[in-house]
Amino acid sequence: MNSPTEQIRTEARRLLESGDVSVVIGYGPGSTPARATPVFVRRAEDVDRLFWSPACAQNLALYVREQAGRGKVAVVAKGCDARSIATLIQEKQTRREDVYIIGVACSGVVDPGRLAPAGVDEGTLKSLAPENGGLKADCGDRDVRLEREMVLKRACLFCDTPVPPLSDTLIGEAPPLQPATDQTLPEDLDARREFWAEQFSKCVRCYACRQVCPACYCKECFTDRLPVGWVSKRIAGPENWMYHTTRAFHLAGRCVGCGECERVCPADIPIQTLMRRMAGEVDALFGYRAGMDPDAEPVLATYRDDDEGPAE
Amino acid sequence: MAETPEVFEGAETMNGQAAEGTWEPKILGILCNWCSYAGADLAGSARLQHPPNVRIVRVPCSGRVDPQFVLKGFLRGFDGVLVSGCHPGDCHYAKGNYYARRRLTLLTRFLETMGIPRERFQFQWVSASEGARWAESVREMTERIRKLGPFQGVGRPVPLLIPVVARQAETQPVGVEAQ
Amino acid sequence: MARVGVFVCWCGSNIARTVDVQRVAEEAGRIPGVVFATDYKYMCSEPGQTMVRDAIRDHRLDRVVVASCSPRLHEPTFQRCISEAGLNPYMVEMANIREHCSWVHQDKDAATEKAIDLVRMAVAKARRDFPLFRNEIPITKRALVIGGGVAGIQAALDIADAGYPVTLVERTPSIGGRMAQYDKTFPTLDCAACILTPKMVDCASHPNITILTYAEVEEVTGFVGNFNIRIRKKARGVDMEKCTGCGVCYSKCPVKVPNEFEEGMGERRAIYVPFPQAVPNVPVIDREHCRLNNDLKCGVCQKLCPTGAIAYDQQDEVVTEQFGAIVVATGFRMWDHSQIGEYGYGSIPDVISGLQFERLMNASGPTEGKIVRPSDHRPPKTVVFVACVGSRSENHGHEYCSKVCCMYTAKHALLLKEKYPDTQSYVFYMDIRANGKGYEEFVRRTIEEYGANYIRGRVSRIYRHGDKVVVKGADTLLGRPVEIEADMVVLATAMEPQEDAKDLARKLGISTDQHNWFSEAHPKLKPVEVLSSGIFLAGACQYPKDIPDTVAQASGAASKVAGLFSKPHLLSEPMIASVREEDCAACGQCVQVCPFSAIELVELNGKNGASRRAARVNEGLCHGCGTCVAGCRGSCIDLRGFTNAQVLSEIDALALA
Ligand SMILES: Cc1cc2nc3c(=O)[nH]c(=O)nc-3n(C[C@H](O)[C@H](O)[C@H](O)COP(=O)(O)OP(=O)(O)OC[C@H]3O[C@@H](n4cnc5c(N)ncnc54)[C@H](O)[C@@H]3O)c2cc1C
Ligand code: SF4
Ligand code: SF4
Ligand code: FES
Repeated sequence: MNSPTEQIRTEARRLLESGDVSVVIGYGPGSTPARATPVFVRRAEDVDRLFWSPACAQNLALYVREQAGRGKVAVVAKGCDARSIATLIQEKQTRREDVYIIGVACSGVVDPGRLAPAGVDEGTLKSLAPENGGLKADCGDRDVRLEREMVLKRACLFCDTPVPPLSDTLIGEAPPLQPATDQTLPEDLDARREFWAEQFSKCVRCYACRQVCPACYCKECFTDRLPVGWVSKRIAGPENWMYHTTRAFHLAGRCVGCGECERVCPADIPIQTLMRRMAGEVDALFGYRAGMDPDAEPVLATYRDDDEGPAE
Repeated sequence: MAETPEVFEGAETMNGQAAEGTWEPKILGILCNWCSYAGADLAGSARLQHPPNVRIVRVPCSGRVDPQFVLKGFLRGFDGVLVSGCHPGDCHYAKGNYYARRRLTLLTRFLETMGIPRERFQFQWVSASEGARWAESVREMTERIRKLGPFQGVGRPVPLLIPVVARQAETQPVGVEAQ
Repeated sequence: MARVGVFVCWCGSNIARTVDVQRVAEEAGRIPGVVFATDYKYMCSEPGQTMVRDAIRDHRLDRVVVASCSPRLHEPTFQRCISEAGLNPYMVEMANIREHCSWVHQDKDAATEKAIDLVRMAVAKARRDFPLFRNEIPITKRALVIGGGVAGIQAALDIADAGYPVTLVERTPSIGGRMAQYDKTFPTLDCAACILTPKMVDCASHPNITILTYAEVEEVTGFVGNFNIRIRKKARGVDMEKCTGCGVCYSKCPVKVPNEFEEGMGERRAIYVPFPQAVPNVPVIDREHCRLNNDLKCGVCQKLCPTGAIAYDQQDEVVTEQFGAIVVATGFRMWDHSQIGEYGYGSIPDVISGLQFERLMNASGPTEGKIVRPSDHRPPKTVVFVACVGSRSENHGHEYCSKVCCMYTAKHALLLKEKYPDTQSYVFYMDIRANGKGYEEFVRRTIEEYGANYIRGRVSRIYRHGDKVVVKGADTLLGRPVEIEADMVVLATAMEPQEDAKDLARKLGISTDQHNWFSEAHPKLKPVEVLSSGIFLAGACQYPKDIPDTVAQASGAASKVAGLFSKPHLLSEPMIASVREEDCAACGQCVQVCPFSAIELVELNGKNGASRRAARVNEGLCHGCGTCVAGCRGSCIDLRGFTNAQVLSEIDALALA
């Protein structure tokens, strides 16, 4: 069997040669073996710029949205990325017929920020490859075995859709993985409030979480609509709280749990703990999971007569 | 749409009052015009006495209630928030309250994630003829919140200068238990 | 900077007894933005209003807050008041310190504190008030009635009599609907034709009514006052202008097909009028069966027609016309229960439907009014009627009661006995629902004077035995099985929405319930309206109804239309949603949640020729509920009069205190 990289290249070549798509959005090698970079391939002879590795962390749905309306694109998508694309279709940010999804079954991607704490110097890293359930890091002078829990993007540990639920071609097979349970949040409500107060006090309002999120596609974010008065620009605990809770609500039924926001957060705020809770409630209440069906009505834009609610 | 250019920039909350020992629960009420607001009016014309702790904002329909209004209420230090609309099937606009029901039931649960107990947020149906139900719900909620005590606020006030956040060394991620 | 004036009302002692109004006014004076504050005994009285107007002039107020009773009571009063002083009427806010404060609290300090808070909130909102306007929307004063049953006929006549032109669109070749099929109508037993035909003729001759039969609505765009409606007039094959209705053509047409109007029990020709009293009395050529369309030689009708009205090559004609209002009166259909095969309908010839029984009783029906068994044309001696066939049955998908079956079954039993005194009828029923004027008496008469044998219970099985039809069931009152050897069985099958009800609803942008009956705007208070303005319901298309209810609703719908048309123009609501198109991401959630289908995504011509989409609110359709606003994350859609900024500032007002 050909490697995922070769399969992606073959598919990309076919799509570009036939003229089915004008561009293939995928991953290329980044500055270190733990990093990938999004690449846009427009000519069949350039497909060798594409690759696949556990470093392919970005959610490329972001670029699908940016390309919307400029003809058909192909995109390399992990389970979470494909779900993001589905939500974009649901919300009319692109059309199903405008995206060709090269789905890749994924067993988790690396958060380079977690290498150092795991004892690996990214600077001397030669290669990073999957190795029975974990990863092998070639550090030049030695090989280091890395467990998934230590270096994967945190959201990946909780992933329950490694295989894209939506794709036009699928590369790889479902990995035999069990999603973990997030136990970050204390049970006691006061402790929870304290927990978030603590976490959000770290937020510097850089908005990296918003910028990287494919579902944050508003032309102008509520945080920038100052005259409306949702929240001020002040970097203060309560205002940060308002930003994050509102963002979580705005992503209810939209966030697919790709964890990019959490990965890029410079303050290490466990954003996904918040998002995962929200997604869990949406599922429990409405039996709805974001991005599983591009034809589904967005969960808060519909209702059922027998929805749970206050007593009559 | 014209908007007045005044920008609200404060983060002041009402929490300060607690310290003085004169604390009284302060509750934000957001009521739809056609049923609940009218129900509260009826409680008035029927002189159904209830505690003076709720401040009512009138909106056309419970469908108008953005969950952020509730979040904003807690941000501003209200001790509780009460949203009230027409019973299912009775919404003046037929469907507004069904969307409200989705949004606000979800919000109720989400608030718990944020550490705000259900007791502080009440979402209910009160019709234009249910003045007594309105008065009772205010009584009940005020008492409930009195027992809970003042709301402790949503975020730690932090100094304006943010210390540079260093990544903590960690080998085991917080709270993850592989299964 | 806004210049707000605050006026605190004592309401005699109603407010002043529990609220320290002077303190409220004093405190109000300290709120940023307030340039004038005062209190007065009766703010709504003439001197009170004069005080407001004078203050607007003297203190150059641009916004007003009145702290008094509920805005539900006096908001219009103060809107008028400030507009007399030259302010836009929507620059006033009210603080409800009576119903929500002085009347429900006793502790004067607490009530006063609360009143001050309420004023603060009102001031905060008022500072973000901006002028609102009602726009004039022109009305095309012509109505469209869809469906020419008794509902459509009545609605058309009433609107026409009110002086407005009406177009009545009927799908079949004649108006009349179901009622035209009946012999006599309960509970008075007057002959259906005698009361319906004159109305049909009135319609045809009314100068304000245009009847389009054999026509259907294809597309509806626009909104109240301004609907654009595309109507397809199917090719009749007969020139309406030339035809005199002599009927030679159909007496000689060689093709015979089962007649729909006779519920399949009689025949008609390929060129036909469905029934003798048809309006218009102009035949149609049923192309499917006409010999010429089947590559056979013919042309008989053309040869015989004395006026040369036959036009084989006539084409469908599609017209688009403007209407200001629509009445939907498309009626019902009978549940086709032959598919289920239960009770032998469709397989045992002498098991027939209530509607077929109507035709058998009708003097102009297939048997000229003789009640005979379809199998051998012999008059039946024993007839079993079964009520609630498919109705009130979840299994059959009709949880609802079809409402008229109890009554027409009684009518059938009564008329049978009247015509043939030596017959015996049995009626199986679940409950007798005879709740109309004279209905209960009618059923009693059927039982007591006409000897119908009413058996409470369900029929379990109907099968053929020799030339008899055996009905087996249980008498649940006596608690024993019953078995009746009948000559004929009549099933009162459930009424259903028209097959294309959902399609039509989609075209009109109105909603249906789970069974596809059209949904009214409010089950109690708006039974004639639908959620979209300018569209009204009449008759059995909304839910099974008898003729009196149908006609009442039709007149109701007509008066709604006349009411609408009596205005020079429509005024849009001032407090409606509007979109900041430049920020709209066109996600379409607002479109989806709007109960009134008031929003659509439109194509905008963006910079350098690129087109992009954005939501746009139709001012004629928006009712101002704000459901869309609360669903828009980017605050790209906002509700005038209750903007996000206004609500948020009310919430903020207290925190800053
Ligand atoms: C067997 C039986 C006996 C009954 N006897 C009595 C009785 O004795 N007394 C009594 O009060 N009630 C009786 N009823 C009830 C009565 O039939 C209804 O109340 C009445 O027919 C309702 O009138 P309508 O105009 O709403 O609908 P309909 O009579 O169904 O008329 C609807 C019309 O709309 C047309 N149409 C449908 N769809 C379209 C479309 N898309 N475009 C254009 N045209 C369309 C149809 O062709 C039809 O002409 C009886 C009902 C049944 C089934
Ligand atoms: S909120 Fe975070 S995890 Fe969710 S979709 Fe956006 S970037 Fe991904
Ligand atoms: S305010 Fe209500 S009626 Fe108006 S567009 Fe929004 S959802 Fe529709
Ligand atoms: S009008 Fe009361 S909930 Fe919609």
